[in-house]
Amino acid sequence: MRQATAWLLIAAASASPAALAYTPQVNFQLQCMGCHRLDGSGEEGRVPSVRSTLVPFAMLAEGREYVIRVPGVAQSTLSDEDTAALLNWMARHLSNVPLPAGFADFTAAEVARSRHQPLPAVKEARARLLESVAR
Amino acid sequence: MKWLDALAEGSARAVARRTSRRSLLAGIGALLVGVAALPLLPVARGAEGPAGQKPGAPKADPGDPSSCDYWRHCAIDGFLCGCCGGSQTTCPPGTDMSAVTWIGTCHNPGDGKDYVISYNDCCGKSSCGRCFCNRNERDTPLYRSGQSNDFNWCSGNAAANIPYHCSTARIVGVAE
Repeated sequence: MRQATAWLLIAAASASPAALAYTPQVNFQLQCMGCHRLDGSGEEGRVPSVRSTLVPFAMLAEGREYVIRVPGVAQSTLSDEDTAALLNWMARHLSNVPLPAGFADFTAAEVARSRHQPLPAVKEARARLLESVAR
Repeated sequence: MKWLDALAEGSARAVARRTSRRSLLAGIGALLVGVAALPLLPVARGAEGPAGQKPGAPKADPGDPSSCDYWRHCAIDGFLCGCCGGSQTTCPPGTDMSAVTWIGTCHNPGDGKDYVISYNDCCGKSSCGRCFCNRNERDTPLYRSGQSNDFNWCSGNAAANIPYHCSTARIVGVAE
């Protein structure tokens, strides 16, 4: 019973985003850093680095969908707005690729459109994108 | 000045008669070991103070870091590395810190702020077995593994140092 009450409280807390409104940097620390590490470099062979890929991916339509659909982003507890702000913060602060002139910020509507489409083969999708970027 | 020479010679001979060369070597050896061990003592770690801490570390840090009730341990699930030969930020000798980890936020009663805490596991030796703490503020079930403290985060280490030994509680910054 106590557990049920606790779950209700948690549900109530997560239903009010204002109570947990963090800066994109702190959202990165709380939602992403555990695996991608503080600088986004990840863990060789286990957790992909975002440093050299996020910005090039963001220049391609399918790349933008990919970064929203990867499990960690799509399934996070962040709102669409916070997720878009987080991706834009990462592009500016963790990328070792400078923002190209044509870079467009991620928007909440864009996140909402793609995050509900599951990405079953993440590794394969990433490999295809890396090929597209290299071309 | 002859009397000074005689005095020096006399005292040197007296020392030589009373002590052996081996005892001199033993003394030097003990001194070397003692100096090397000094930084390992709790007093030396306590002396690190704020200057040794990263930026973002709180000025007020109340409580006992070896207690489960210590504020940084609000979401810890494991053995405190401070009781296992390491500290709340460093791994004991013979273990490696996990690269991937579970992150939480804890409220510091000293300054009233919330801090992002990284509970990096120390891996490579069997469970420490001392100072077990299990506090689960904002812990999520295993299907949300990124924010679950039930996960063995040592399994993410490149060196495959899977055995879990103990947990640290490192401050990442202020949660704001």
